[in-house]
Amino acid sequence: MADKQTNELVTIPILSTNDLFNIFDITEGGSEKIKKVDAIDLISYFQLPANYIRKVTIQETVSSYGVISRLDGKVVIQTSVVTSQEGGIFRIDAGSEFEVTGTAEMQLFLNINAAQVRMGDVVLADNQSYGNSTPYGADMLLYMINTTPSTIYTIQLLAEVTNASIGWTANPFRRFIYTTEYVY
Amino acid sequence: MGDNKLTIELLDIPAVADSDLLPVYDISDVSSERLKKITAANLNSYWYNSFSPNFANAITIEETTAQTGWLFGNNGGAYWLLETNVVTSQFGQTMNIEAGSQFLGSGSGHIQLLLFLDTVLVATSDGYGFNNIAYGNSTLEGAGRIEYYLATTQGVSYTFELKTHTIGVGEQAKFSNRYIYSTESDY
Repeated sequence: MADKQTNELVTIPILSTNDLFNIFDITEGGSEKIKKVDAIDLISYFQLPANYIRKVTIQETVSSYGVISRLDGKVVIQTSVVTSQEGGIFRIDAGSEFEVTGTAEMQLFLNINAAQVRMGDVVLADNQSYGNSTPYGADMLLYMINTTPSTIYTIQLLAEVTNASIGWTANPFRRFIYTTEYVY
Repeated sequence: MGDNKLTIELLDIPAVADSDLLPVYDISDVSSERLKKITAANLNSYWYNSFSPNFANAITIEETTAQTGWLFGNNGGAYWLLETNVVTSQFGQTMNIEAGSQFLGSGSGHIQLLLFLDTVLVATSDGYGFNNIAYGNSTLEGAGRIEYYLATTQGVSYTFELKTHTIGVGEQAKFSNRYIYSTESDY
């Protein structure tokens, strides 16, 4: 009786970057032809045609920062220190929600290594006039930068309150800095 | 006879060309031909799909931090060109365009950002106000953003232009930190 043979597609497992793989080293003449490499090295072995995502850093704080007034100027409300793994491109997404009193407005800024690289729009969160009845607002900033391997980047999100009255304040919450590194 | 010393050295891993044939062991084939050959390019595709659905990305950064001169409002109905980015599709998939600019206004007016693809207007931002005299808003500075997605054809070049106009007779604005980022993912 003839056996029936069934070919099935094999499900490819999700791999971890720490997984070790056996490779067969055809340049080795001795008994140690089989060697092990991790998944990252194995990927590096193949020439990649374009950038790929290497590492994502999440810096997020849900709780409120505290009251900021116009007199405080620009205040650092979130900091993320990220080291470039191999050099490539950082994509930085940062933002915050905020709650105001009176007619306060808030503006976000993004600093890289103490230098301002981005600012947001002046976000209105007027609870008294102009037909805007909510005391809440939010904004997000986007910045991309070429990175150098092993270099540390200090990313800071800052907020400034602008309004006519010194007495009105803003309180940022759900502040975040997400950094994604793409490697060539 | 002396001791045999076994020395293991890490070898430099050679670069592989896309067309190089590599041996693979096909476990789905129960015949005697399990050992097959695959090109390095196809093996690359295998690894991309194994690790992440959005593994390969082609990113272009076009950014100018210097400030423009004053651009006046009601520019005869025309738009001011702030930034240009010409991008060639690598994968023929979906391209994400993110563009924006910072501005400094004079007087009380608005600016608006516009994104053109091959001279055709495809996206418009909200109007961003600047005001130095009224409504309690004492700042003249602001910023705007536009995001747009495009289904691409591999090998085709696309020209993206970030433009603006100021709204309000006699109002004017300067623009700095103008950028166009494009990200195309292979999935």
